[in-house]
Amino acid sequence: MSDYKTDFLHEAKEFVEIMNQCFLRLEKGEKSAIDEIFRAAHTLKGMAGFMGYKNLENLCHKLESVLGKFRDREVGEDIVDILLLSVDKISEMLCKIENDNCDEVDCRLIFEKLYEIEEERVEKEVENANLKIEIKIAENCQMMGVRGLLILETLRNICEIKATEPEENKIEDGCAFFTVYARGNVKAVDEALSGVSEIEKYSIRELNEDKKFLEISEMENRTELREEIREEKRDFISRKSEDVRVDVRVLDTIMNLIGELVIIKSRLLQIASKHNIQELSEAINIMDKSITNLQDEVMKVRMVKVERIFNKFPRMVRDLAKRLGKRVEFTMEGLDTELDRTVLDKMSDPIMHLLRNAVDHGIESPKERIMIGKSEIGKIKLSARREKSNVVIEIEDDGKGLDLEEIRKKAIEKGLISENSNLSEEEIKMLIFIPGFSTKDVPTEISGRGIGMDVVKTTVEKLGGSLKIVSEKGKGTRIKINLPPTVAIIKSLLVLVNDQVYAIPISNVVEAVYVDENNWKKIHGSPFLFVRDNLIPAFKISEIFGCEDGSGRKVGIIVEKESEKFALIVDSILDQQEIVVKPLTGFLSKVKGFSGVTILGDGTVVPIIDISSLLGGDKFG
Amino acid sequence: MQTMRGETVQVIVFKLGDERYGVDISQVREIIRPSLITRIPNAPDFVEGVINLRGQITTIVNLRKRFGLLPKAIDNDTRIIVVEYNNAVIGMMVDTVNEVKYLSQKDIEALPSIITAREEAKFLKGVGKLPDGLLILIDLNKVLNEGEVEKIK
Repeated sequence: MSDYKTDFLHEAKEFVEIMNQCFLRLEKGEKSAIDEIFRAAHTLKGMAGFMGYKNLENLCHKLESVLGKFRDREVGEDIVDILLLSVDKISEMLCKIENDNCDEVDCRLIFEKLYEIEEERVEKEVENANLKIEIKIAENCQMMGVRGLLILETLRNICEIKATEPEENKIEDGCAFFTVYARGNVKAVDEALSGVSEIEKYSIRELNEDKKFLEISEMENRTELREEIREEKRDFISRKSEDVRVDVRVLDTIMNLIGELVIIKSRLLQIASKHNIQELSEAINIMDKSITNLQDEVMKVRMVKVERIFNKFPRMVRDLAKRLGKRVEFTMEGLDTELDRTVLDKMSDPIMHLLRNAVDHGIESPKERIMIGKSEIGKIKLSARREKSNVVIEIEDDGKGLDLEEIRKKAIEKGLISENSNLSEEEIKMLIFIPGFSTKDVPTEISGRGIGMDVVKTTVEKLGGSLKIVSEKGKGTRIKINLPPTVAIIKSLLVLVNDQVYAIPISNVVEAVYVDENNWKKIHGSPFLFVRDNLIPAFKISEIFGCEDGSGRKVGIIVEKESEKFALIVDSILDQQEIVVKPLTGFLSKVKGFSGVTILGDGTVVPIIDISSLLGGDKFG
Repeated sequence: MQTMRGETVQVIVFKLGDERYGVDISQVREIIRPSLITRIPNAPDFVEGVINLRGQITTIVNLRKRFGLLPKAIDNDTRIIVVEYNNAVIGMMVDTVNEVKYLSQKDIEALPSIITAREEAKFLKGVGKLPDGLLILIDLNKVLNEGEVEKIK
């Protein structure tokens, strides 16, 4: 609900803004503006009605009907004044809604004014009258009609009454608000009226040829009101500044600039240490602190709550379950968990695929569930939480779980693996992420075409994350997605291969070992690294990249990809550093094995190795 | 039409082997000497690698290799013409950059399709006639378009 309210307020404020601008245009004689105001007021009315803000709805309704009268007539300055006042009232209401969640604002005055214009009572030309006196009798007045007549009598003594609104006999019946057109002296009228008790307020206007008018008490009253509104508006503006909408591209640009700063900083550090300049080092250290702070702040700005995309899932799961004739209880946890906006936006579709799968493949039909002794209602849980520096998103269901035998059979049938291939349980589970894999014989509308799951895997890996399936047949499935909170700046290992530096993201690295005769094994021509009784397939980076093999003792970097370990053989490890990822463009955007490049402190460009595309493709071949 | 004919274009004249080429100056951002080029393994063979051009990653295309000529080692005369193409910054490595020439439209002759249809001539836009000889105008759209690269493969 709170979400809707924020959205409502956002939009309502925009409409108020539109109305403000349009009224000003209207004042300048632009007739088309009235249609725009009309639309804005109408939409706002609808929104307010939907949200249950009666007062606001009423005011908008009134505004709308008043505007209807002016579609084909000149709109004077004073009318626009009143209309603007009502717009101010609307923003006052919005303020109130924002703070106290209610729209109870005193708007009797504005309603009266609007009523007046609607009834075309304003500026009614009365012959020979030079004064327009508006009088409001106190609400608690005992005999309103009598009081009204008394007032008229008083006025008659000092000036000539030309006409009254409404008619005199109506005033006699009791009318809290009436207008008198008269000929006389302003001062005298003012003096006379100020002496009458039970008048809540009154205003006297001089009707001149040029229609300039003088307002006395009402003027004061109105200024006060304006002042009040303005004041409220002021803190309304200051509150608004806490919630500025920023184009995500602007944030990206700022992030890039900070990236540049980080690069320049390490460059300066190198210079300082090279020339051994103490003072410079100190200055750089201070700068470093500021840059780190700046970076953290921008990172924070980029962070959004997972709620933003999670909120659309309950409806989706509900609709889907209904269509499939299943009963599902869907729960979400950790909605406050924050994730980089880019990461989150990219995860939206994958999570949707996984949830669809859970409903379609995971949860059994109610009949089946009762038969196997489960509760009729299946449970699906979507949760997010922070784990160390990463964010974990989990999708869990208590459905039938993965049938490993079935998956294996399907994979062989579809020619994804050979009949005698020996895969571990882990590997079999990962098969469901291969393009073209589906255990459902007849694809349903929702899932089962074998697309989707591979998209999930590639998206997660592209974001530098990993994916794990825990499943037990008959009990349920849990898919755990591990994501780095941000993608722009990553920690990485700098390695040397044939005098060229490469960066390997730390998130992929498990450990590093020296390579010697004891652990370097060749089995049937393929090299392996023997680490703590485990045989790990090894790849020489120099071979993959087709360059000369460097000399000296080699280092094996053990990396993890889809819960499988590989060893990358490099010449040496240089450093561990935070690097800024810069994408490769143009001709190089399709080059396999790299997620981008980075610039080191000394200005050299270093390619960043992308483990999954580097070793991808030949895994199940 | 008369005014069109009278318009002049400024071209940067560079050399690959003995041949003179020209590229419209409005497309050129700057001309630099080659700095440290980082090779990107698995890249198309005419891509030399990337350089750091004041913080901007710039892909370097070896124009000799792109045009199917024999490669030549980098020497003192080697220059990189940096152009902006499709929002990306790309450097074209050439043997040497000679001069800037003014070329009036009437001195530019489009190549007949019988020539441009040929594989080795498809990067060419036209021929400029100068007092001291002919100048081949290259078509950046063709030289630097990724789609074109796909076709080669």
